[in-house]
Order: sequence, then structure tokens, then C-alpha cells
Amino acid sequence: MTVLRRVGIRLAWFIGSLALASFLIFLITNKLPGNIAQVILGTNASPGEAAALEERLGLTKPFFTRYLDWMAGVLRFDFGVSYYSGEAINPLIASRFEVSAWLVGLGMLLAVVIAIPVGSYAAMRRRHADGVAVSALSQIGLAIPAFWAGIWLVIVFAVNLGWLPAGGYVSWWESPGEWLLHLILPVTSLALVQSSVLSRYVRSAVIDVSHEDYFRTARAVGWSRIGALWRHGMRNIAISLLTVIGLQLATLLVGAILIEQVFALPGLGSALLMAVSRRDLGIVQAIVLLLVWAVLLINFLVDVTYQLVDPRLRRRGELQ
Amino acid sequence: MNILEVTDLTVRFGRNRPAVDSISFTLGAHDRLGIIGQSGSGKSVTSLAIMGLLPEHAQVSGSIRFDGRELVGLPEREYRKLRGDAVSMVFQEPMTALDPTMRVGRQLGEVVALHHGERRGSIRDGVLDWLGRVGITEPARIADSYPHELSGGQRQRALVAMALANEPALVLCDEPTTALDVLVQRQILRLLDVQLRDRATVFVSHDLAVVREVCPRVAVMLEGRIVEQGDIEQIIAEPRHPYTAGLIASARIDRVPRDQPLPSVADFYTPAEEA
Amino acid sequence: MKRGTLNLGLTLIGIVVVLAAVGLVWTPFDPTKITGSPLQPPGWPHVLGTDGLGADVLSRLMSGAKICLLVGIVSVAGAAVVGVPIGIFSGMTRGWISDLPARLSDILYGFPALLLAILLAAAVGGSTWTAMIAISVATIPAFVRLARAATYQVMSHGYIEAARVSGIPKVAIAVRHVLPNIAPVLGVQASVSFGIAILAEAGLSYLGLGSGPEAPTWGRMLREAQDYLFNAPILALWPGLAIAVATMGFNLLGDGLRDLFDPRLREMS
Repeated sequence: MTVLRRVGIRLAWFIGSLALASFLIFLITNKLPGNIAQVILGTNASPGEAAALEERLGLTKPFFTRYLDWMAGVLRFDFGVSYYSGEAINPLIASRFEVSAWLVGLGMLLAVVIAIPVGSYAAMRRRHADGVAVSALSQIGLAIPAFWAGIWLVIVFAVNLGWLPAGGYVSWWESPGEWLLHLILPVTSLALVQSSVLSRYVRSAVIDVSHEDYFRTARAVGWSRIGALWRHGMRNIAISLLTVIGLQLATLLVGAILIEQVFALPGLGSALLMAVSRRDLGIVQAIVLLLVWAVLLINFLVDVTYQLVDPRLRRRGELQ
Repeated sequence: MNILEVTDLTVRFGRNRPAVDSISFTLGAHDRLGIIGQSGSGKSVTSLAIMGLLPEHAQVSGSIRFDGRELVGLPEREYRKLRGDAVSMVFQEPMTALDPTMRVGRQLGEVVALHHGERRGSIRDGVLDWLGRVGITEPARIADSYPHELSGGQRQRALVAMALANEPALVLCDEPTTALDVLVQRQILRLLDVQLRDRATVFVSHDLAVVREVCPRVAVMLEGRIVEQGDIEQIIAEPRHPYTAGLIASARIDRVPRDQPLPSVADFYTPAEEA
Repeated sequence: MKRGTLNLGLTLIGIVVVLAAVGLVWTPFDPTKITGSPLQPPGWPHVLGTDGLGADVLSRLMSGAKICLLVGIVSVAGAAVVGVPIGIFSGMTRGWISDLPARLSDILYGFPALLLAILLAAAVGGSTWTAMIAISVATIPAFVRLARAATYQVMSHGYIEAARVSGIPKVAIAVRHVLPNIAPVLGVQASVSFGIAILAEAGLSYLGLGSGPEAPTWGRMLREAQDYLFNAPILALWPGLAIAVATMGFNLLGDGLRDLFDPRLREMS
């Protein structure tokens, strides 16, 4: 079974890359110049104090032992304790994860909902002024940092119009209405920029598909252009579009760190930045590991889905 | 009464020489006309013009009357109702003309549902019926298959079924057998010959032998113009245009003696620019 | 029409380059000093006004252009210098050793520039250098993959086969035959990567993980502008506009070069 074999090889590489990535992260946070204990205590701490702290944090053990200890913990979903406060990291991650997941998930959803009609329109009307204008607009969107878009959304909708809150977060469980109000601007700023990337992809995919023979057949049996696109075009674009969405999800995950900063959202990104400013390497390690593993997992899933799809159905999905 | 009257049809793309240059022909309700010519002669553009499926930037002038109705300039909304219903088309690429992601039966049923919106059950029966009529031996299995699971001949049969499903008055066949091997080609031609008996047909091909099997009348196209048309046997016996003579000679390689070079169209006709 | 893309791209890049070049020798005021009263609107002598502390916005913008181009050049060049030879080598060899760099690149794909920079900043403190290193490392995989794929294509050409058979060393083939042939694609990639690098640098310095206070960057200016959204929203305009112009310039340059090098695409348009 060649497909199973291919997936098996990919699985092996995937597990290997998880291990290698975790090692790299640990190496950077633990081997680069800078004495952790000294950093935490500040420069005027005495060597004695530093040594005592190192002992307490387990930093005196050999590097590899510490890495394996850390990994053993992570695999049991135990990320250890914060170097700064001494508190367990798990509850922090659990509470922050929700915010980031909503932001990224809704952001991608909105981006797709915008990109499919806009990209199709730009493709169908590519010989007309309005189609070209839509393409040009997406070119501009490509160059705008999402966090700058976010700042302007705040200026317009929070500062000037006062319709929406400028930042902060309210959990769904406390108040679904407030939850939505607080997420509208962050999600929109993430999605606006993302949708220009996706709509450019949709545009070129729709142009390709409209040159296909089956598209002409669909027109010849009486479908309108939009009908043929919806009924036969989208089915054929779907697989490659899903691939792109998967890969873009990784970009979005990282872009969300910036958006959380703009809107003061208590997500993983802001927890990470807080930890960086406090030099709390335990938390930094944990969150970076989660994000990197998430990116690798997404890429792996996209790759495997692609392998499992019948090759005769994927046809124009060949990316890169 | 003629079902199709094409008068002075001209199609231009940009400022180039017209792809179709004021051609005229008529077709009775049960007539078959073969249009023959090499690639670029305008024969495919002619059939796409009748279907109203030319690219947006094509400029069309002249007249195409179908069943008394003018098609040139017909609003897209009206045209859509005709396509696949009163006028349909069989394309030449059976490998790629079906949607690879959709089961064959559904693609066929869709054509009926699109125009007549019947209930699902009756469409399924109609689909199996049509697959049987185009000579597919296991209609139920084929209906549930994806195009890539079918042979080239089966796919072409499915495409013929899609074209005929709504009992169109006019069928345009664009090289329907070109991509098939010789045996399958025979079968499909025989199928078309039977199925197109009560309809008007325009049969576009570059292959004189194929056209001769299904069409009593032929029009020869060259560089966008019809250079001669009439009874096919008469034209084969006494071609009036040198290009036609070339076509005929190159189609009869069985009559060439062993040690002679094979005849080609160029021996009989040289395009004006090169002469 | 297609030339238009290229020219527009070059024009936008030109604006940024002129800003940076002039800023190298002269700025209206010292960009890091307080030279007027805070939050002045655009006017004279502060053409684009002053920021929350009273520093001249135009001078800071010019100084930011310098850092933006510096980070872009260093990180893209660094990534190309490391990635291209690996990619060519991998494209010229066969077997598992040929796949290895691609697989390792896949792992690096898991480390976007921003995460890598955050990690470095946590370990050794953020600076222009950590930003450049992070962006550069994160850009390597793109060059490896592209150089590898392009080399594969070139290797199938007859003259490469002829050169191999006649015993010309591999390195010579790589330098004399492969590199010139894949240079156009690499140029397009460099341009696109440059745009991405500018966005990454802006994000990093917005988070305060890039250059220190002594070097004003566009991202840092946006971060500072956020404190004055009520009184002076215009402060959030200039740096963002500059980022967008620079990024779009390189994106368009990349598109334009692609059209120029790819005759097939040109015919289709």
C-alpha cells in the first residue's frame, strides 16, 4: 500500500521534527549566553543567592538531563513552573489558549468568507475595470501589517465612533454579547489582511478552473457563469484551497501575537510577551513550543490530507 | 421550415483577421451538416458562436436564427434556457470534459434538473435510462462512478447522454470522436447516427472520412470562410476548390501506390500568403 | 501594463531608498532628541509634526527607513547565502541526502520569524541583530526549496548532461551553469522575501523586540503612537504608510520580475 507507506514516512518525519524543534527551543533558551538566575535576580544579586536559586530551579543538573526532564513533563501535559512567580504554568496556558483559539479560528473563518466571493469576482471580471480594482485592492492589503489595520479600526470604531471597545476581553461564559463585541475588531483586523492573501489565491484558482473543459461543459448544459463556478468550479478548487488555508493558519497563529498586543487581549501571545519582558524562560519555552508544534501539526495534517486525496482528483492542487 | 439559419456570421477577436468570416448555411429540422476544416479554420468558433459560449471579448455580427429566434445579441438569461435544453453540444475531450470530482450520474441528472427541475427519484430513473440508451451496459454502476473510473468510450457516451438528455432540437458535435481510438470511434459514430436521427445536427470535424459516415451534406471551411458546401458524395467526386481536392486526396491513402509519396493538402492548395 | 507593475514597484522602493539615503547624511532634526513641543500637527519647521515626546516625526521616519532597508538587505542576503548553496547541492544530488535539506527546511518552517525573534529576545535580549538573525533564519527555507526545485529543472537540460559527461567538476557546473539559470527565480524570491522581512521587522519592533530606543523604527513609532490615539491619531498614519509603501514596492517588484522572466505568463496576459 504505497499511500500508507508515504503517510507512514511522513508521520515518522513529523515526530522527528517535533523532537528536533523542542530541542532547538530548549537549546536557545538554555544554552545562549546569559545566566538565568542572574537575569531573574538582577545584576546586584550576590553569587550565593544566584547559586541557591539555580539549585532550586534544578539548573545545576546536566543540560541533557534537564531537556529530558522537561520533555517528560510536556508529554504528560505538565509544563513545569514559572521561574518568575513559581506558579504552575498549566493553568495559565489553559486560560490563555481560549482567547487565542477564538481569535485565530474566527479570523480565518471571516477571511475565507470574504476571500471566496471577492476572489471569484476579481477572476470573473478580470477584463473589466472593477475586477482589476479588486485585484489592486488585494495587492494593497498584502502590504499592510495587520496590527496597523487594527490600530486604524480602533481609531475609527472605538475612538471616533465609540461603537466598539478598543481592547480587552470578556469570556463567552460571562457575557456572550460582550464577548462578541470585544472580538469584532481584533478578528476583523486579522481577517482583512488575511483575506487579501487568500482572495489572490482564489482569483488565480478560479481563472484556471474557468479554462477547464468541464467548466465549458457546465456552461454548455445551461449553467450561468456563477452557477457553473459554484457547482463545478468550487468543488475542484476546494482541495488546493484547503491546503492554502492550512498553511496560512500557521501565519495567522503568529500574527495573532501582534493583534493581541494591539487590543490588549489576554491570549497566549500576550502571556508570551509578558514572560519575555520578565525573562521567565519556563513560560517562554512552553508557549513557543506549543505554537511551533501547532504550526508543524497543521503542516503535517495538510500534507497527509493531500496524500490521502485521490491523485486524479487533486490535479491542479500542486503547490509550490 | 429551417431550424437553423446562419447568415453572414462574422466573429472577430480583437483587431485580428476574423476567425469566422461572413459564413452562411441553413439546416432543416432533421438535417445533418458536416463542417470540415483544419484547426484554426473557424469551425469550432462557429459552433461556439451558435452556443453563445464565445469568450467575452469576441465581436459577433451577422445573424443566427434558431427556430425563428435571433440568437446574436440574445440576453444571457434567455440563452441559458436554450443551452443544454433546445440546443446542446458534444465536446471533443472526453477525458477532461466531465467534472472529475462529481459522480457521472449526478452530472447527467443535473442537466435535466437544471431545466426541468424534476423530483430526485424520477431523475435517477431518467439517468439510468439515458445511460442505457447510449449503450452503457451497467448503467447503475457507471452512474455511481467518478469520470476517472470510466474508459474513454464510456465517458464519451456519458457526454452524449448529457447532450441528449433534454431532447434538444439541435445538437452541435465538436470533433466528438477525435480523442478516441479507432474501434471506439466506430461505436460512437454508430451511436450518434442512431441517436441524432430525429434532430438537426452540425458535425464539426477535421476528418473527412468521419464526416462522410454521418453527414449527407458538408461545408468546407478555410481561414474562416466556407469555400464550398453541398452534397458530400458530389463534392468528393468533383471538388471545386483545390483545398477540398487536397483534403480528399490525403484522406485516401489506401489508393496511393506503395512507392509514391503520401499526398498532402499542400500539394493541392497553398495559402495565399505563402504563394 | 505588466511593465507598469515593475515600474510602480521600483518607484515605491525608490521613495524609501531616497528617504533612507538622505537620512544617512542629513535629517531635519536629530531623530532621537526632543526638538520641539510634543504632539505638534504637521507644519513648519516640523513638516510631519512631532511625536508624544516632541521628537520630529519626519526625521524619525527617515531614520526608520534606514533600519528597515538594513534589516531587509542583511536578512535576505544572509538567507540567500546560506539557503541557495544548500538548495543547489540538494538539487544536484540524488537519494536521501538530497531530501535531507528539504526536510530540515520543513522544520524551520515551524519557526516563523516572529517566534524565533521572541525566543532570541527572551534568551539574550532583543536588538536589531536578533531581529536580523531571526528573520534571516526564517527566510532560509524559502531559498532552499526554491533553489532545489529550480536546480532540478535546470539539471534536465542537455548541456548540463554534456558538461557532466565531459568531467567538469560539480562545483564548476553549479557556478557556471546552474546559478546563472536559476538567478531570475532567486531574484523574484529575494524581492518577495524582502517584503516579508519588512513586515516582520515592523512587527518585531512594534512588540519592542527589535532595535532599542536609540534607533527609531517604524514599528516602534507605531507602538508609541498607540498611546495618543485620542489626541493625535495622525501619528499612527505615517509609519504604517511607510511600511505599506516599502512592502508593496518589493511585492510589486517581485510580481514585475516574474512577468518579465516568465514568457509563458506574459503570453497569457
